[in-house]
Formats: sequence, C-alpha cells, structure tokens
Amino acid sequence: MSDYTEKFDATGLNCPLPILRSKKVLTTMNSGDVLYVIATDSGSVKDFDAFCKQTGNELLESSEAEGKYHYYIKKA
Amino acid sequence: MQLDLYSQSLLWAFGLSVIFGATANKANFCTMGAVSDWINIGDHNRMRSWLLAIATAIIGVGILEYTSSVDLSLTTSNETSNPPYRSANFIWLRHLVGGLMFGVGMTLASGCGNKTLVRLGEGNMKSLVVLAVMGIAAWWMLFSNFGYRVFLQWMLPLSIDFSNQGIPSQDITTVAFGLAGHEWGVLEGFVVALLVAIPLLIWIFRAQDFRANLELVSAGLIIGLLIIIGWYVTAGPSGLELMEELEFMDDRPFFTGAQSLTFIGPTGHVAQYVKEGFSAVFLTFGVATVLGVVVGSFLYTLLFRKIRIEWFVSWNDFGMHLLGAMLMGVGGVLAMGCTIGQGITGVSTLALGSILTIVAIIAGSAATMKYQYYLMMREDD
Repeated sequence: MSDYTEKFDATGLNCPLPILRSKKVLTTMNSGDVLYVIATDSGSVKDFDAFCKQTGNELLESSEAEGKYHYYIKKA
Repeated sequence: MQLDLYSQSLLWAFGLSVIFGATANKANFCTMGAVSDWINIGDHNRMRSWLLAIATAIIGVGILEYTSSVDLSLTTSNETSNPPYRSANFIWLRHLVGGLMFGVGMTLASGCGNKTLVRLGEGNMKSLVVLAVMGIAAWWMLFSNFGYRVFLQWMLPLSIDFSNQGIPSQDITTVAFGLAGHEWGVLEGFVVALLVAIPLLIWIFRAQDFRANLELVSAGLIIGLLIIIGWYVTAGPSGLELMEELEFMDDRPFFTGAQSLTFIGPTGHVAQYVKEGFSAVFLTFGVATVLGVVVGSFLYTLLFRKIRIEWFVSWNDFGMHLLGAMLMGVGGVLAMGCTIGQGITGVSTLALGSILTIVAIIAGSAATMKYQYYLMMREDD
C-alpha cells in the first residue's frame, strides 16, 4: 500500500509515544485521510489494533517488513 | 545431588520468573501499557488482565492462609519478610509519594521495572541503561541513609501505627475487625479476600472481547498463579524451615524471609551483588527474579520473535528514560514495590499500603500521559 495523506515515523519510540503522537497527527487530518505510521516497538502491533477498534478509525493495513512495522490508518 | 533449602528457593525464584518473562513477552502484558490503553485509547483489556492477576493472587493467598499453608503474619516484620507489606505501622505517605513517583517514572521510561526486563530480553538496549540507573537508584535507597534523610524522616511522624490500638497488621481484614473491636481469624480473612476478588472478577469477565482474548486471560491467570507459588515457596513449610536454618548460618544471605515476585528492590540487590564481586550472601531471591525475567523474555524472543537491537533516538529520549529510571528506582523502593511487587504481590496480602501504592502508581502514570499529550498538542503553537 502506498497511498497515504500523512506519514509519521515512530521509529525508536516506545509505548505510549507512538500512539500519543499518532493521535495528535490524526487530529490535524480530515475524515477519510490515511495516516501511514512506521514503528519499531513490537508492542505497537497490538496497540494500533486496539487503538483503531476503540476510536473507530480503520486499520487498513498492519504489516512487518525489514524489521519495521507499518500501519495505514484511515481516519473515521 | 540434594540442594540446600536456600538454593532451592533461588531456583524457584528463577524458574517462576522465567515463566513470568516469557508470558509477559508473549501477551504484551504491561502495567504501564494497561494504563496507556485505558487513558489514551479507552481500551480496558490489558487492565483487565492485570486485575485478573491481582484477583487470582488474592484468592490464592486467601486459600493458602485459610488452610494454614503459609504464614503471612511474617509479613508484619522487616526481620521475617521482604518487604513487610503488612507492617502494623502504616506509613501512608511513603506509598502515596513513592507510588506517584513510580507512576511518573514508568511512563517516562517506557514501562515498569518488569517491562524493562522483558524489553531487555527482546534486545532493547535502552532498557539496559534504564535497568542500570534504576538499580543504582534502588541501591541508594536500600543501602544508604538517603531514603531516610530525604523521605522517611518526615514521613514516619505522620504514619498511623495500628499497634497502638492493639492491631498487629495493616491488612484490611485485621484493621476493619480490629477497629470494630471484633475477633477475627482465617475464615474472616478468606471471606474478605472473596469479597474483594469476586466483584473484580465479575467486572473483568463482563467484557466479551476480553473473554475471547485467551492470550490476556491466560497471562493474568498464569501471573497470578506465579505470585501464589512464590508465597508458598517462601512462607510455606519449606520457607519456614529455611528461616530456621538461616538463624544458624555464619554468612546469612540478605533479604530472606516471606516474599514473592517484585522487581525494583531486586534491581538494587543486583547492583549490590555486582558491587560486592558476586558475593553469595547478596545472591538474593530478588536477584534470581530479575535474571529469570530477562532469560524468560530472551528465550521467548529467540524461539518465536526476532531480536531487535534498539537504542535512544534522541537526547530527549535518553533524558526522559534516565529521569524515569531514577524515579522508578527511588519511588519503587520508597513505596516498597512496583506494579507487580505492590500491585499484585502486595495487594494479594490485602495490605492498605499496597492498595494505596497501586492507586498512586496508576494516578501518577495517567497524569503523566495526559501531560505528555497536552505538551504535544501545544508543540506547534
């Protein structure tokens, strides 16, 4: 997946910062926009899954490649 | 080969902690994460898992006491336990201030003491720095008079000493029955344990998505069970026999007595163990637990995940972790435990100080997260 509106690189950040900073970026975006997050914290996989379930944002993709986690979140 | 009782207790501590480390790694069991999910996302599943461990431990300890399988009256004295959760002297300020400090610290340092050890087992080198700083801070609190001069000196006069009213322990059953002037025994203690644990269990399992999350359900149950076994090992028949043996030992090990899993004081024990050139008297139950969690997490990562070497991304990241580690080391020893040591092990004894500590830790952590988010929102202003 390559289409996104905003990108946030959370490489090297640990919980709770990837979620907090993603939340902040999402507040500046419009409904339907896609946020692409890159993270290295292994706990972020479950964190972003729970975050999207609770906030109503759609987790379009959650994948791992080259030692990094990639999330595409569509703002509700 | 027949191992002596002390070596057996160390092996138990190590074995239980290996399972703890692997379980926490697999389920992403994290007490700071539980607060974060609740405050930042509105998700309660990890909080339910933590509370399930607490409820399990409360019921287990209740059964052990009711059947006289353990003697937790040992936890009223510093001489026979580590730490004395049920001391009759309720130094409430140490739990309040220490808990708040710990809550702030664990949020800044990306996780509590246990999570730091789990992350270290995953290859996170930030956690090695956090562990070292936390250990030195905990050592300072345990092995110097810093803790007394800075904190306890003014906190002790404000404490509530229940022994003045003939109440020998700060657990809620003893305090409630003692203040009401009624007799109490193991049956009353067990009933109170159930009265605390059952409402918790009802709330925990009311959520369907938590019931369906077998990983978090089993993590809560396993961790609660490990705490119960720890109590049985140190305050059960073999623990009592060991305490008698220790009376006659020339080189008596430090920090013996009734205890179960806890992680901040033990990081100070590790610092002392290293400082004293790995002297056997400083190879404590706590040192074995610290090593066990790292090994358990490392083995799980080796078998099922990839080792990820991580380092600080900025000086700010480094500074925040350093500050968090110091607050955890000082606050954790002051409060007599962390989110596991007080949060599960301590609360399983239903001691007032443990309950106050866990509330203070959650409040400190939640307030820090709210403040971090507030600062982030103002960054571009």
